[in-house]
Amino acid sequence: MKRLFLFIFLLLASVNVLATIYVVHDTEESSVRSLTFQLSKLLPENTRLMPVRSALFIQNVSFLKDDDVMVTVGADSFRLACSVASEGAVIAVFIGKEEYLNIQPQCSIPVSGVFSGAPLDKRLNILEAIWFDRKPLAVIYSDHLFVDEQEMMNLADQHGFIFRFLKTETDRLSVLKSVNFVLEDSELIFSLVDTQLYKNGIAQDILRLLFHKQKVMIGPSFAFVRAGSLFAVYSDSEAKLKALVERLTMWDTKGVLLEAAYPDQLRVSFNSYLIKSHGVVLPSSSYLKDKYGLCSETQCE
Amino acid sequence: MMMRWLCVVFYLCFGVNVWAEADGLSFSMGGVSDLDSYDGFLDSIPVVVTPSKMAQPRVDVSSSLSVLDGEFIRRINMQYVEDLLQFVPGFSVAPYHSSSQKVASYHGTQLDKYRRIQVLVNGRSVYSVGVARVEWATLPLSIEDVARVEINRGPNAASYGVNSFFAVVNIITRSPLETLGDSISAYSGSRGDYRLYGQHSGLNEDWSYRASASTSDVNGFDEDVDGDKRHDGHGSTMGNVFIQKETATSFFDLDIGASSLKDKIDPSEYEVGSLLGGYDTNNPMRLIDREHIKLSYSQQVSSSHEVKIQYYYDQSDLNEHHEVYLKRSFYGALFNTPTPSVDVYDSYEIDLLETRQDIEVQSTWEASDKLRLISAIGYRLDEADSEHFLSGKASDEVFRLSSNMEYRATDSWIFNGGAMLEDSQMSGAFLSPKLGVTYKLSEQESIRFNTSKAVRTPDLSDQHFKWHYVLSNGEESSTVYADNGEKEEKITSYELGYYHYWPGRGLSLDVKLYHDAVKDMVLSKKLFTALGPSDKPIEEGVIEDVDINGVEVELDWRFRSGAITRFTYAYQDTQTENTDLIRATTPIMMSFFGSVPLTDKWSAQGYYWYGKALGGNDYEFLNTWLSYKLSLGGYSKATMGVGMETRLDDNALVSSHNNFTKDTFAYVFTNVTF
Repeated sequence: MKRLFLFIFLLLASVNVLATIYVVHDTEESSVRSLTFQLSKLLPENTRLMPVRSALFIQNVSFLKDDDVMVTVGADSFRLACSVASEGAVIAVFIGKEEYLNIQPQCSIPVSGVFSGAPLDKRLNILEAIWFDRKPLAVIYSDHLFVDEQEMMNLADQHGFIFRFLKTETDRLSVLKSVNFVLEDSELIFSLVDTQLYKNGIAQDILRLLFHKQKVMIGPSFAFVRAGSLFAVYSDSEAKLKALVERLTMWDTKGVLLEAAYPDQLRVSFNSYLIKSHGVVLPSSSYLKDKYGLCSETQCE
Repeated sequence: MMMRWLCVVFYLCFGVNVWAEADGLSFSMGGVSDLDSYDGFLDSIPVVVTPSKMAQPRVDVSSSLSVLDGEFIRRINMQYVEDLLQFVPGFSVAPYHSSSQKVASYHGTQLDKYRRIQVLVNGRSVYSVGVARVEWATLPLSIEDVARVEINRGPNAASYGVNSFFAVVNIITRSPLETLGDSISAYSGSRGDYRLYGQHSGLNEDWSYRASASTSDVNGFDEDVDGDKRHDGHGSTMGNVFIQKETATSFFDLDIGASSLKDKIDPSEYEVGSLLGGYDTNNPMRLIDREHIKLSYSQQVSSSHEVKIQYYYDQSDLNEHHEVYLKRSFYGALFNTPTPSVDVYDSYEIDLLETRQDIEVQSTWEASDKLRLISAIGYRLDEADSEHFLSGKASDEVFRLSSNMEYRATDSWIFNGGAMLEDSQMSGAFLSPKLGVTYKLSEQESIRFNTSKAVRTPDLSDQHFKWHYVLSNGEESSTVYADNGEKEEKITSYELGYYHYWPGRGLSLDVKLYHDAVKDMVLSKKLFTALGPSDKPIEEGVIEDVDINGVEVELDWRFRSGAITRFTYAYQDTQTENTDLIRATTPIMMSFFGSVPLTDKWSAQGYYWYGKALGGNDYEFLNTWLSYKLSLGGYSKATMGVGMETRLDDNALVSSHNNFTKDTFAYVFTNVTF
């Protein structure tokens, strides 16, 4: 399979054909194939999409052309593309805003992105509506994020909260020690999309630890809610792809690369067990929609 | 041109291949949701992490519950777990015979060996049944390892079985994940008390562990009622290893603990009527070694069903060595021998080996959104071996079967009910039911009503007493023996409660009104009376019915500034004419704790406790301290402080023999985590 990819890559890159969209990834083949498939359905028929693993991409980066676009899946692929590509444009998907901001300065070519998670303001809005404990909100993050602590503090202040930040190493022991450390003064972890921090099952460990400590986390995605986060505001893949297609189309048709942003359509999901056990009163679905522009699970269908 | 053609052909071939696979997987737009897991890096996260534990929100609970959580426990700076119970309405904690033998009682009724509450550590009963009591000083348990203490204020034999009479104290230790790294603590007081604690916790994949140890010394009371110096004070050393493996669908834990207590006790005096017949010539030591091992494994068999199996073994080995001087006449009478020509110097031992083995299988099943069931079947074997008290061995086997349910009839009405059926080889069969109903006024406010029945079964000594003295020279006294034994005590409790939590203020309030009807409370005095040639039956069957009414208030306030306030008040009306019972109950108890951060590093704390007529005298004290917290870099930090405790009354503590020469003492403490 690897040889086949290499061969196709060389073919596409070496001939003078239309621009190609390379989907650079390090995830499972089946997932990226379905992503490519869905993307192909949303793009013009003559659009050429090419899923390619990061390792293979790096070997053949010299064949990239000015009008090629690299859609990077995840922070690692974005970091890699930025570090090696000198032609074309990069659009990052499945990446947190703070991850994106950390990597972006390394890029020498036009970049954009579709952020995972949700804007801080939206998350604080929900928290303000349901969480009345005003102890500091703990934010743990890795060295792989760019976090503007002052800006976050200012925003939190508008909602009556305080953030307490702790940058941590990403090995399991350090992360769990960090959680213990920050939760001495906090009841809640306000998480950011942080691939390095939550990889290798560390997310599960954190949630287990929180369960033991009877404290909670605001998750960055629905998967966290299923696993034991109080709630998450996030976009589904459909919304992300829509935002991605918008960027690809603008780049292709007008040569303009839209700024990196969160998708317009955001959802909110709550963990019913934790909501119940913490006595949280949820706003109605219509209130969430009207006031915050968020669809809750039942309304999103 | 050729190259371009080749390119198109290959691309089409590849594209078809991809499309074919995609079709085969039936991906619709939602099919990309596979990537949602990428979004969260969590595709393998189990859904069961939270729902597998079927804890109830406080507002849903039908019985009266106090929770002393980790934050409170860390802030209050207590050195011993049992002392925490002073901050639960209706609880008093005070030593009686010696400083080591603290009695944590709820509703009083007995001051020396309290036996009317059930105490569990991680689901393991530490209630001793050889001679019924909870021997707090021998528990291999350090307060630093405790995550929280939940106290069910009321009978709950339907869930926890016999002897869950007035209350159930459930002590839950911290997961090793919560204590990762190392920590050491030290405490030293001006009375000569000290305590050292250290722990190391680590992890390896799904396994985590903690090894902790502590050693302490308590100086004890100074003077008895006559102003004579007391031989009191105790030292203990304990260690505990806790290992757990936690996966998505299973949980395993191994808990091993051991402790050794060296307890100075006052020399005994031996009397015939009011005449002194002899006394101890040594300063006796009460030595107790205690060990336990507990294994527990739970498996999530489906998203709504969990099965758990638990086994534990607990052993307590008590020994006292008394060297005695006995007047020759007393010696002759006690040992039924011709009166010797001279007074006798000899020695005897008090021994008591108690063991318990318990195995339980429990099923937790969420039958529907409205109905949850917890059912269990268990077997327990209690054994006691004592030449002194039993002239041999005694044992009891108990089979038990229980089922408890929570039914949410509507969003507002919740019914909690259940029953336990126990069959004791020694005491017979008992059914302990309970029924509670909660009406939720909102998600933070509820009214509850609960009624329950429970029994307290006699202990092994009550039923098998063959109490005698055996001197080292082989002489044996006559025996005081159990004739018919005691009957079980019965309680029917009615509670009406109100709970309100104001999350915006961090304030919770709980009020409980109750009526406890106790039938056949055993008040027999177990004294040695066999002076003479024949064995004598021990006092038995002295019983009394007692009604207890009261009100309890608990208020807990967590401020945004980090300040904590906790206030408890208990009023108890014990309807009896029995002066001993009245003396052993406390009509009014009150506690207050406050902790206020002064700066980021400095904080001031204090607590006050008042008990009216506890053991006949008011008991009132105040403890205040100042602490300083500093970060040592990374995840390391240190806390240190200095404080003072003073008695605000001039009375002896519970017993007239429990006196300190100074009412006030100072102390320093420190804790380093790294």
